[in-house]
Amino acid sequence: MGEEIAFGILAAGAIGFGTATVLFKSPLRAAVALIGSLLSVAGLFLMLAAPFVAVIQIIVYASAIVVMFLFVIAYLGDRPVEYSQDRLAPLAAFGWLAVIVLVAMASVVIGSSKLPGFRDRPEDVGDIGSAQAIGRAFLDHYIVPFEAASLVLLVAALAAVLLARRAIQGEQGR
Amino acid sequence: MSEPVWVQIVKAIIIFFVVITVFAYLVLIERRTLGRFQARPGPNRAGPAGFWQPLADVIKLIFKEDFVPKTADRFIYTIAPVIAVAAAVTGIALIPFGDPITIGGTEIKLVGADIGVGLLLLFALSGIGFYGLILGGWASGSKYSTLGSARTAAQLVSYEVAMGLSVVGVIVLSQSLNLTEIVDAQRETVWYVLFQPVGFLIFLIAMVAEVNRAPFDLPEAEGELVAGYHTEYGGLKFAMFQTAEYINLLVVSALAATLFLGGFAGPWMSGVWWLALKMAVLIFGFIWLRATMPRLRYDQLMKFGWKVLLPIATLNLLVTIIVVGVAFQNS
Repeated sequence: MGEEIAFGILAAGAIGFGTATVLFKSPLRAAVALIGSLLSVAGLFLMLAAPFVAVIQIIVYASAIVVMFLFVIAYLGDRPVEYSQDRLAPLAAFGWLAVIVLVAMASVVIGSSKLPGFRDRPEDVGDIGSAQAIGRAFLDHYIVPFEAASLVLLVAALAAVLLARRAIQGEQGR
Repeated sequence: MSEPVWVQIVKAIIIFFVVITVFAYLVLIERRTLGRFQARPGPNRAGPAGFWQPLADVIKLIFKEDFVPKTADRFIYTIAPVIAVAAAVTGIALIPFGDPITIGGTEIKLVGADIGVGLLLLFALSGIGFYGLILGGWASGSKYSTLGSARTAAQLVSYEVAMGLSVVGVIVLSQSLNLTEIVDAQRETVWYVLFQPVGFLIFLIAMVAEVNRAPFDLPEAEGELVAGYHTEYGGLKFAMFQTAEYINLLVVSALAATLFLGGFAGPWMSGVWWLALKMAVLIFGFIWLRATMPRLRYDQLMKFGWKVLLPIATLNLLVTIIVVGVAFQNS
């Protein structure tokens, strides 16, 4: 029972803060709401017996990345969003129609699903969420995709540096 | 979670009160010691040797007006100090301070929360605690506060990386992220400061930056920014920022002692006293540093973090991994 309550709180937090992130007009408040959402998701990871992923979620997303957002907001100023001419406004009815259809479809699917573990308690999968298990998985079984991902990230970082450099040189040339 | 709930609650209360008391007297000790360094007595009027000074400070701060600036974002301005204190106090709970003891048939671990990924969680908490500073400075609606919080954000990102890399060496040696296991691993070998002297040095430097103390106290440089992120704060909210800062100092020095100096392990005395002794030596070093070193310039701080500390930390880690790997193959 306690687990269901905790899940309810965390899930509601994730959705509520996520919605607030999109709806707040002040970028600063939106960033704070984003922290709340990311922390709720970290809590959900913890409930899934994945403490390592939960803590990494906090370190990487909830602290490092949002700090970068705040840093940018600090330099650009906390200006509230201005509403521009919304060209899609006449089509809003279709958007709501899509929402209604989605809710209807989701309730039918959830009501009739026969997926294993959907209604009954899931089976115990053993230790897959600890730091040791994840490390072993990365360096044993999934080493090629893991290294490929780090290569892709390295290329992306180098490209970002190069682009920024060109922009700086362009400014000085003016 | 083998301990009954009441044991955990009692433990939490004891740890909390001990930490708050230590914090109060840490401030007094720092002011007195700084006074001696600067050839003046320091606060010595309230009680013998200034013994009642913390109490007097608290009473004064309680009776201050609870002021919110007109330009402030009221909600964030109010919760920011709470975030800072909550993260700092939670961090203390992860530090082990002794071997398990048995009282009335119940085995009690002498640590607030024995968590498998405790070391990582401490880093996560320090990241969350920084939000108190950043958001507080931002929500104050003052230019000095905003500059202070922008500096905090930049400094956090720069030094957290080097700090993390310096700690990975210890993780590689002890094969664990659990602080109690790291202490036990050092009991079997030697203090990791002997294996990781460079890592220890980097950790010490980065940790001064992490707790915003001189010579890295750029976020609150009084010569340029009045008081940085807490310029607009007064009364108990200001006191909460101070609490967070000093408890963070306790947490990081306890962490340094645990990771590199054998933590609570030691002969003759019980674990608490060993840990307290090691922390006291480290904290005295920090006070000494504050009294001795002038503040860095901001660009020096960033250059030092990215161009000196980070490459050395990376190199140190690389060498450690290679040596440990070779040693494992031979054994």
